[in-house]
Amino acid sequence: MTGPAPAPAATPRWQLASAGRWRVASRVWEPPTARGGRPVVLVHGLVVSGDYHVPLAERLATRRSVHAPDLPGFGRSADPPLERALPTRDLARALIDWCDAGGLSDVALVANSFGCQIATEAVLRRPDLAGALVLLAPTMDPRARRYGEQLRRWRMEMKTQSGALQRLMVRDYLRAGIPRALVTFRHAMHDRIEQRLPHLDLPALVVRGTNDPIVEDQWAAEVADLLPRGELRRLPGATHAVNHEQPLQTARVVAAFLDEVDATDPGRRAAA
Amino acid sequence: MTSPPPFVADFDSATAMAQATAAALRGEDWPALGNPRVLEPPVSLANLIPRKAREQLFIVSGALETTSPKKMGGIDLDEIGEWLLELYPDRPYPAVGLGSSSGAAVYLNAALGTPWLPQTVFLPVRQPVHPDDPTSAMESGIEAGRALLDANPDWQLHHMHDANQDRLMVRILTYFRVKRRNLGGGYEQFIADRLPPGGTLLLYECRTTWNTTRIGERHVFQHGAVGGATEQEFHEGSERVEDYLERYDSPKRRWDGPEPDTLSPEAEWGFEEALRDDVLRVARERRYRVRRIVFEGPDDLSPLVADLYRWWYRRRRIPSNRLMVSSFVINDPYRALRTGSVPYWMRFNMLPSVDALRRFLDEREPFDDIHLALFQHGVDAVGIPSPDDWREVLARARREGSTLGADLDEFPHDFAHYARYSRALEKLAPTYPLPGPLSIEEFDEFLAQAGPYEHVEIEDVEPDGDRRRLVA
Repeated sequence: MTGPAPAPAATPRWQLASAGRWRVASRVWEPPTARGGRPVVLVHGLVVSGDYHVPLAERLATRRSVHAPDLPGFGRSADPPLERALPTRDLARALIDWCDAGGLSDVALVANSFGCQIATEAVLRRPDLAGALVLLAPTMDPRARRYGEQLRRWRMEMKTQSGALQRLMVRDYLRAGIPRALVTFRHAMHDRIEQRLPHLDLPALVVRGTNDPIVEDQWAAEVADLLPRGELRRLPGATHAVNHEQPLQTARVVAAFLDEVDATDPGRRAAA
Repeated sequence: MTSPPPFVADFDSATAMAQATAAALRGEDWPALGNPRVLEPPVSLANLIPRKAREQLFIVSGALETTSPKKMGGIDLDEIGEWLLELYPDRPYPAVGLGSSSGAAVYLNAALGTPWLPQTVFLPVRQPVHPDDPTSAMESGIEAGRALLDANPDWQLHHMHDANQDRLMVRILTYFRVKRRNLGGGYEQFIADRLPPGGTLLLYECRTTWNTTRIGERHVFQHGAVGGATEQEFHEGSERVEDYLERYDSPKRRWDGPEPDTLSPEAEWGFEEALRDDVLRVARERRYRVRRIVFEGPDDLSPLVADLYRWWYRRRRIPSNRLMVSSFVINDPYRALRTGSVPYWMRFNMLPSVDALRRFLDEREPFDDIHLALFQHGVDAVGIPSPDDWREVLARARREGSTLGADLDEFPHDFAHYARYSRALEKLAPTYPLPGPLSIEEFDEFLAQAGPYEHVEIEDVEPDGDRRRLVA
């Protein structure tokens, strides 16, 4: 495959900021040259952390600034206490508060898996938060909203994971704690993303890897249909963790989409 | 069915209305005011007991529900929200009602298939005072009230003393009515979980107010309550009040309540507006439309709801000439729908309610049948109608006018009625299948046709803040 070769990205800085009641750690990449595009905020999925987005972040950061927060309870953002796993709504609230604290608005929200549920909730609540939305392998397919079915899909998905991803996941699961993982998963199961999608009136890209056992093609198409301004891109051979496993391929379609949005809709950013 | 938290009264109007609504949403009736049916046979014999003893039994039944004033600081009022989460069937709804209590709203919510979250609930607090000494009632409740409010920063307290209708109960308990000032404590969670974006919040706002005495920032004392006597009669006395106090052998001939200094939402029915701001915030965040249903008195909504049911029955091509008059907490929307009855709700059982019902009937096509479920509170209070007043209303039926198992000669002491009304409802024929809920669009269609109603305003607020009047 050919495409623009990634220029060497800057090394990320760690930042610690408050998000409402919580302290949130994040990595930020500043591009070598400022291009004025919307900054990217990467929202991670269930139990993993911002680490999981590093491969994609490095590739997107050649052209724009990229932020990868660890949501409260995950990665390096240790609080809230272990026994209090935040529901989807509160994670979205924390994301909004964190963006507000850092002066980020009209961003490009790029989310993966359960992170899509958080990101859509955040945009529903605060339409001015994002000017573009990218949903990479969005969960949770309402037809599969059963524990047994989720477990089956997840076990199939494990087989698609690379060794590096598995090591990262083991570390992140240990940091978040198994109880938090289970409770957060239950919150994810109760959350109905499909009810929010018709109300998110912003340019949106849905990305599905054709080898993703968790997100079926029918559901990915529905997500794109439900979004008033949604389009679907299928990545041949890509898996569920597209941002980690197929970063180059993913960065290419995401960057092209964001460039297009920045070019056709710069007004909101200027107005904000 | 789950029970409300122990500190809430079973005879609280809001709790009873939430339970009746939930029963209808589950497709069940609400017999005997939510009490176990095994109690029906003994209660139905209550009228055999002499009246004085019956009053004592009524008092004891209330005393069993009281909470000690010493426990106020340990009460978490947000448990009410948790209870409501369990009470209503766990499914998404097209709309969710919340706000002021009204029996008419019970029937409206049942028609629309929407749950309803009360703003106000009632905590009976153990406190023996003489019924005709409102000042002592106020003073004895100050400390307990403070403890309750310190533990519950999202709530405000309306301490109420009504020596007229609540004469029996206020001997042993005092009325703490608490109102939510925001959507915390489970309500926001309920809405976010069960109302998808794009849904409608029906915000019931009752404008009834009362002149109260301020005790603290979120604490007022209300002398008197909405009923047969007017507010002025509570504050200043009248001949009717003198007669009443004489009838009950009171040493007083008027009530010397504390001087009122603040106009507040009425303790039981009035809407505290602080809640509205929070509702509009959630609506903005989650893309809900807020339909504000604003009415002066809680029963000002009754004619609109009755007409809506009649309109709906006609649309379904079933007869719409049976009127079911309910009062206070005796509501059974499931039975109304099954029997094709047009529900007309009375706030209580006093003369103002009879007058409102007469006006309603004057302006409607006659009904073939009129059935009456009449709340019994055991006091020959100021402004009580005579049995003949009720008979006159029932006589307006073209075919049959009857009570639902109430003995009008025993009114208002016929406690056996509570055990009988459900049986009487079950016997009504014919019955119809439970219809699917009325959509908000159909409700709009009705409102467009029905035109304005006295003392009712309906306004939609879109998520972006645009407002549109539907009825004014």
